[in-house]
Parts: sequence; structure tokens; C-alpha cells
Amino acid sequence: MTTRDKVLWTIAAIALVGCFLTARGGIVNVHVVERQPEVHNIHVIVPGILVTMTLHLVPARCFHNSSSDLQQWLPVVRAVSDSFSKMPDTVLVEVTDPQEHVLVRKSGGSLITDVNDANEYVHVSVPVRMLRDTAEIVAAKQSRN
Amino acid sequence: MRKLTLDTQKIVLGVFILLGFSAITQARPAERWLHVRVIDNSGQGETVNVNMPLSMAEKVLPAINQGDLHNGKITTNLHMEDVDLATILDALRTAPDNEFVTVQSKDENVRVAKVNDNLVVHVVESGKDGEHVDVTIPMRVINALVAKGTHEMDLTAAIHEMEQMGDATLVTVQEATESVRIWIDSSNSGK
Repeated sequence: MTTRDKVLWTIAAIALVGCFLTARGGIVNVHVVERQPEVHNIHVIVPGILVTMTLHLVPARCFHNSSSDLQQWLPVVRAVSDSFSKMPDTVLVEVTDPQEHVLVRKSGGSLITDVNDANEYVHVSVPVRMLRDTAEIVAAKQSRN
Repeated sequence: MRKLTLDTQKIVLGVFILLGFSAITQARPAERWLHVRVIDNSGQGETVNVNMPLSMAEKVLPAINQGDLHNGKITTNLHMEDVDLATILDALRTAPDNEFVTVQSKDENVRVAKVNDNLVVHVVESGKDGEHVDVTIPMRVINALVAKGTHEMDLTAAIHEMEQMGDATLVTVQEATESVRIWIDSSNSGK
């Protein structure tokens, strides 16, 4: 095997691991379009695994002053996450009025919120598994304080 | 065509039995959904739709331990302004189908009855903008909610009973400005 082949195989392996981790953690997708008074278009796409990995690197003392104790809500987060994974894709909440349309739905493993009004459009898609992992990490760090 | 040997037939039969068993164990009853729809009739045109799988509520409620809610049960003395709700519900359980309360006045008509093992409450206010309220709760849900002799409301048990129910409308409220409907069915879209 030549050096070039080794490099290609390494890149392929890294890409494969990256794809696997991204698929496992899902994708956080935030899209904000501000229409008035100025037009702004912000689109952020982050692999969920990156969020949880970053949280692991945050020192526990940073969560010392967190106002709410996540530990007591962990069973709720776990129960919601378990039910969510078994639920078919569906609209959970929809609010429609002449000025605004709010849609909260489940699609795949993600909780998607869309808010559309005259001034802005906001789309937030968060993998529920990542929310659970985040809650677990933050709660563990809080308990260390 | 070559005939299958006895061993091959046994293997094929075994595979079919395994597949059949797997299908039976994986077949689950259809998910039951609680739907809430609020429609604003005042000209604002606002509508609110909420669709919630009952299984989720059944799993999540026991996980909440806040205030009076513990393990899916609300601890309460069930005494409200000298009315012992637990005793009334005990009486309701054993009573045959009957009209319990009928109020007819120029302002409103109220009817509370037990019909086909359902507790039925009708309130009809007089006038063009009068409110119409219909509540139909199966007795088995009420029985599960308030177990005999206890002073707590078991929300998880009530939801579990609701999951066993057929499609049913539990609450409808019709006002001049708003209408509300709460119902259970197997459709996740609530259409």
C-alpha cells in the first residue's frame, strides 16, 4: 500500500466515523430569517455530537450558579425521550392566527419548531437524543458542585 | 420438481413459526391520542391544536414529582367547601343510570347524569351568546382516577383507562367567541 493510499484510507475512515457520529447525534439546525426592519438570514447547522462533546469540556463550576436543579427533571426528560423515539412523525402543537403560525412537530428523531410571522421566520430543529444527553451532562456536572 | 426432504420441511416450518411469533409479539395496539382543539370565533381566527399520545402522558406523569403531584398521583383531601367528593364518587359508582342533578332556570339548564356507565354533564346557558358545555367521562376512568377509599387522584391510572377506551369526545365547549373540543382517537393528526 502506497503512502497516498494510506492517506486516502485514513481520510475515508475519519469521514466514516464523522458520518456515524453525526448520524448518532443528529443535527441541530437553526434558521432565522428576519424580514423587518432589516433583512437578516442566519442559518446555523451543528452536529449534535459537537454540542454534547463541547459540554463535556465545560468545567463543572460553570454550572454552579444554574438556577434550576436539572437532576429532579432527569426522569421526565428520559421518559419524554423514550416516548418520543417510539412516536410516529406528527404535529404536536399548532397555533394559527392571522399574524402568526407556530408549529411544533416531531420528525424523525428531532423536535422541530417553526414560527412564522410578518417580521420573521424561525426554524429550530433539535435531536431529542441530544437534548437528553445535554440534560444528563449538565445534571451530572451540577451534582459535582 | 424436486421434493423437499423432511429436514428441509422442518426448517421451513420452524422459520414460519418464528416469523409468526415475531409478528405477534411486535404487533401492538394502535397508539391512542388525546387531542385538544380550541377555535377562536371572535373574528381573530386563532386556532390551537394539540395532539398528545396517551402513552407518553402515562410514562411522563409518574416521572414528575412536584408539589402535590407524585408518581402520577395528586394527593388531595377531595373536600371542597364542605363537599366530600370521594363520598359522592363512591355513591356514583354504585348508582344505576339516573339523572342526578337537573336545574332548569331562565339563565341556564344544568344536567348531571349517569348514562351507559358514563358521567354526563350538560350545561346550556340561555341567550344568543350562551355557553354550551358537554362533558362525558366513562365511569371506569373516574373509578381509576379516584380509587375507592383513597384521597388521591391517580392520573396515570385514569390515562391508562383512557387508552383502553374507544374513540370518544370527552369535552366540548361552545361559546360565542370560542369553541373547545377534547377527544381521544387513534389518529395522530386529530383530523
